[in-house]
Amino acid sequence: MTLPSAPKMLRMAKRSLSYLFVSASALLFLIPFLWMVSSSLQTEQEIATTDMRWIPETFHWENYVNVFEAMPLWTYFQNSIFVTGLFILGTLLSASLVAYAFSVLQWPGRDKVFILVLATMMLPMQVTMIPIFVLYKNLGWLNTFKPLIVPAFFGGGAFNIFLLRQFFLTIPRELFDSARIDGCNEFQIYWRIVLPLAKPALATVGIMTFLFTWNDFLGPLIYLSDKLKSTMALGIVMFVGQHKTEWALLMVASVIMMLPVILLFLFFQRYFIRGFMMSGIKG
Amino acid sequence: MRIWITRAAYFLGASIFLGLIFWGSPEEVVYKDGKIHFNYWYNVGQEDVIPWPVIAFNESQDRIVVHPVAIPWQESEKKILTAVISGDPPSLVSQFVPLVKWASRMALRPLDDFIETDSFDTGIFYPALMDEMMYRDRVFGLPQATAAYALFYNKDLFRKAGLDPEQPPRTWDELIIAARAIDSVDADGRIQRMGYLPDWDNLMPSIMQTSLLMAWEKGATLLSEDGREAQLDDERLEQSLQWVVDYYDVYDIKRVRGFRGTFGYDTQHCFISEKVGMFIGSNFIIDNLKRYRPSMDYGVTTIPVHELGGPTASPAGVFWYAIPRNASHPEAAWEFMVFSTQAEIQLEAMQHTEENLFPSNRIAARDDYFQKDPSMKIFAQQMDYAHSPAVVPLAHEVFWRELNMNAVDLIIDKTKTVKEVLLLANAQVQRELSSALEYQDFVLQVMHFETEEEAP
Amino acid sequence: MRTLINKIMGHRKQDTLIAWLFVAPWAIGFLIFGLYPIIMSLYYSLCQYDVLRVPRFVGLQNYDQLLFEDPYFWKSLWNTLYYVVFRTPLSIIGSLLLASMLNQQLKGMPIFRTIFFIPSIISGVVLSVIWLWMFNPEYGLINSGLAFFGLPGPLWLQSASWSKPALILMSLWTVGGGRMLVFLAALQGIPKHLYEAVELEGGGWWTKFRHVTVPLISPILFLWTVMEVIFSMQVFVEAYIMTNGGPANSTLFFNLHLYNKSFNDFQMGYASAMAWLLLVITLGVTWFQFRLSRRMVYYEGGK
Repeated sequence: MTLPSAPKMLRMAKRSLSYLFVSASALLFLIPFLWMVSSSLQTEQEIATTDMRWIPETFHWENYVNVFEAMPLWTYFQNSIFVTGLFILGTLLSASLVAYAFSVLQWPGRDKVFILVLATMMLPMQVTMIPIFVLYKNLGWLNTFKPLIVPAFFGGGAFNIFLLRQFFLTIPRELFDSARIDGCNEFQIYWRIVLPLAKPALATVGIMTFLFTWNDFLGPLIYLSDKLKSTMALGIVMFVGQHKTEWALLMVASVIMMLPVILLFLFFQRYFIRGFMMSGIKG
Repeated sequence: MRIWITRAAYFLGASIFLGLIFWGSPEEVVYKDGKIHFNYWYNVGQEDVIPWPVIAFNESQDRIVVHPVAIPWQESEKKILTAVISGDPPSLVSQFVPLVKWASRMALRPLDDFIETDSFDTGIFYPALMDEMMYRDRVFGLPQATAAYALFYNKDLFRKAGLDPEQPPRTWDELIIAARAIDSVDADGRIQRMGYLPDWDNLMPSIMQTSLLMAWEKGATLLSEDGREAQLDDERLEQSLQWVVDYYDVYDIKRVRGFRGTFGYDTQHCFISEKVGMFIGSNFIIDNLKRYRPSMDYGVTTIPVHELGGPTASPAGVFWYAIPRNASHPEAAWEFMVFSTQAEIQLEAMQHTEENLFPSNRIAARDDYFQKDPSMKIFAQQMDYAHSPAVVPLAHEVFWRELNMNAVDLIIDKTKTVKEVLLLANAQVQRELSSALEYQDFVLQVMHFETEEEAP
Repeated sequence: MRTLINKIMGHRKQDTLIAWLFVAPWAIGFLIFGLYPIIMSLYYSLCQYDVLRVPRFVGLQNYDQLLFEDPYFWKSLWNTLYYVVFRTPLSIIGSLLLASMLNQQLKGMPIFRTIFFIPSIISGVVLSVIWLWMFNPEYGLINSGLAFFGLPGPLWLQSASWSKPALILMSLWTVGGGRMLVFLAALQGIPKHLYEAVELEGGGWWTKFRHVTVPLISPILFLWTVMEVIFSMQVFVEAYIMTNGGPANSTLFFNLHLYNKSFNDFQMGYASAMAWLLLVITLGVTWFQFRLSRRMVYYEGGK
């Protein structure tokens, strides 16, 4: 066997070094997860020791059952699914409708209004938070799920409109022209042509909306007061507030809350990545 | 093949999703048993103890079922007020905040009509507690429980200091003598033990400030009769704070601060860890002593006075019951309130709860349970001279912030005189108070109330 | 039907009408959830209002009190400023570092990318809970790890001086998110021949970095910095869950103070005044950054 040439060896050494760096960083990033899972399988006594025990002596799987007694986690889970599901539905419907208007249709003032849409993204939510709270009070919607769902049906967020518009703009105009010649009205075009074609973009928006709603905690915090009406995010926060926090169960609840998100990511990586990339192109 | 797996995954996901949406949609719980059901929101202490009176009440009759719901401390004000705002509050709440704050916000339902109909005698409660339930001459709540305070002293430390453990100080002058005797420093000059720390609770200043107690003892109220003018610059408070300043004068304040830094929770509590010889505490301390230092030989006595025979003073915060303004079952809630404030029920409740609260019902305090136990007897005695810590209820937080943190620190650090500090504090409190009063007056003017019922 | 409208209104107008029908969800939403609240919040900021009772007009009293008499307002601004100033460069650099590491065509990149990415998509609640536990002075991983090396661990979230650094440290765990992906794409878009040109001139990696990489990705860097600043100014969740503003108000951020005033003290008028100040500050900071960009950002095709 002949020795590799000097430049080749240098390259190999560089690559190994790179691998080392990246692996070390990745390990560093993984540590909190591992710690979380490990803690979730210990008992309160085991946790309260100062030595770092990575692999628990006994795996207390029963924690994953006990947590449902310590707090109404299943109810929280259902509530989260309920709110998230309807919110995604509303977002997809209304954002696509609005995006259609800004991409496929031509009308005077279109681009100026679109700039207004984008501008609303810059508004800090604190400015509108209080009057909207008062509005919901007057409507009698406080302590219901309506404030967490209804706004999705009104445009679904400027960011999503933007994303979908980008996608719609890539659809060849000929499709529309021939459809119009065939006598389709705009809504039919939207429903039968654009939406089916836009499935990947819709999936992306759906996933990003899922992330936002599933993880959201401020909305439920402000609008919900009944203990049983909390979503998972809020439920976990309530659990933290006790004087003597039960860390093991808290870790369990966190793992459970995190699981759908991670699973979604593992299966639908493409859509996540596309979503974020599309937001970056704007520069 | 991959296509089928993907399709199956989508299908599975969709069905789980839809299933959860349709089966998971939250519904209001509806009771169909003909009884009245209402929610009762109370604060979580450290354990989720279902208040015993609720169980007893539910068992004692079959027309009404009370559902207790515990809410975390930090969230309670926000949750309850939001629930009142939303128009669907629980029919009964228990809270600790100054009741006047909520009554003035029109969050509570006045109780005078119930009191009259049932000929309920509010005299069974300690006057200081009942006073706090009043706002603009109407009753808005009933006192549920309180914490009584007295002077705890460590008999072992007394003996070590050459003091008679059966003769605790009865006047403030005697207290100074005893305290100085107990003080001890180590070879480096670091404080090991102190006899007494006025105006400082365990980890931070708190409601049983010595200076305030002294002012109360001399009759100061710090608020004008009509409740519109803050009077923190009262001479009596000034003298009391000066007493505190003079007390700390003999020490190096840095050392004292360092000493305080060694205090902690539970076993590290300054009195429980025997770092401080005398401490004005509540019946909570008894519990903690049993738990963390059962061997300590301690005594309980009444809080010192200026002159023998004069009235002593102690703080008494109030846990109260009230009915939110637009509650759906006020009569049922009232029935429960009456039930649970009876002397027998209060006494029994005390034995069922881990929290060491003192009953609000004066008659209960005459029971053997209190009269036999010497410590309890002292508490019962002290309660007769209790003052509510809600000194300026409409500016409660500001009052305590100014008094606790700013006033005490500034004075001891000697950057300002006592008089100056009190004037500044008074200005702040007055500003907050005036603002609240202006709002209150405005609302009363603007919202024309149809009936007396409506007006707070 | 279509032809009828067509006849009445003319072709163009019909198009506009239909377009507005499509836009209607957003437009109505904008009026109800955008314009109306903004105006009302300005009104509330001039009132005393606790939602339980009617608003009382007090003019500029809230602003006056906020700027001159609120002990916590300036503290919260300072805390927020501290957080933004330290966190923004660290997180941008962090993302850039990760992106350049991943830019090297190593095998198994998808796995690494996943590991770096996932922390950015989990809930702020879960993040806070995990790190609250990690930072626990007695049993947490961080202090246990430090102890392993014989180093004393500070009290982190229970110490007034370490609380903000702890929060900043925690947020660095999420630098591998979308922002990193965008940087990665940008890095991959730099033409290789530019690097080769530097190599020919005898330049090392620093020169490459400073004179090729940075200028070419500066528009993206700038954009994300602006967004990161705005995002950092919104810090709330961690402080609310982990420290509730403590210890000694060291983590009382602006939004937390606002939240406390709104939903704990129910001083909605006062809180609205705070919200408007935040808006003004945000606009000011963004404008300032744009001005700065003229000097520092390189746009292809000339300045």
